[in-house]
Amino acid sequence: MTTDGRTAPGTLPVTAAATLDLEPIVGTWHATDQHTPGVTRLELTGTDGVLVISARGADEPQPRDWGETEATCYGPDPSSDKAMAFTAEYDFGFLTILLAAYAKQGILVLDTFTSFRDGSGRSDYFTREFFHR
Amino acid sequence: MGWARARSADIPGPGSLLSPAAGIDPGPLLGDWVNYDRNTTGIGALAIGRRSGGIGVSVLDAGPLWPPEVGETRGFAFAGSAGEMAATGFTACFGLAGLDVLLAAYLNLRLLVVDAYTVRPGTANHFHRDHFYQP
Repeated sequence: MTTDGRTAPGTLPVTAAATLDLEPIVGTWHATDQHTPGVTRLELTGTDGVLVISARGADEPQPRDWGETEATCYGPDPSSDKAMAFTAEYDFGFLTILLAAYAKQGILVLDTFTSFRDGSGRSDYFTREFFHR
Repeated sequence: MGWARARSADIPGPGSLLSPAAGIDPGPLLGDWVNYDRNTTGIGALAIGRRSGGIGVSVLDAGPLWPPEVGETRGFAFAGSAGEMAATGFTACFGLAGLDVLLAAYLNLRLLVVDAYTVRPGTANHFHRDHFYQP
């Protein structure tokens, strides 16, 4: 994790989720808004105790595949054994996107924090999006 | 304009104001914030101030999930879209003795929602949510 500037405004060390059961959050999550301009789908898979995210962003003529990134998982408290949240980051060079999400009552709530690196003048921005399996 | 994008939302809508020099206006985030839950195990109160290049986030009071002395860390403000200027959210990272905490926060009608993602050796990583208002 760094707080030294614009390189990674929200990353935490990626740690193996071996102590957390990933079952509550793994699967394919679809955006509740079929016309979203944001993330359209999230695939969460557990490999050797590590959560891997595969996201797609809305685009024309079809969603854009962001590829895979590893995530850090979290339970509801320090003694928990089941994952209910995760953080992850995508770095595309011209921008970075921090994903921070939690699952509740069958819904996955995703907060994204996008930071532009290309000097385009666009504002770094926040979104809150909802998904179902 | 041929902006690079990862998804459609990265493209500002028509009429958007873009200003590389001005940056995000942190005004909506600034000030002291108090937790509605006086018995929280997380953050009891925090302060957000304007700092050179961004914002400073200070934990003024906290429950047992936090160490006694926390202090201030650099934060990053985020607007409501790629074409807006006013801050609606922020992130901040605390690297403290024995734990790392990511704060991911957003405003909802003057309610500040702060999600804390904590990595702590020897315990399970955990997520905690608090809600704040300005007195």
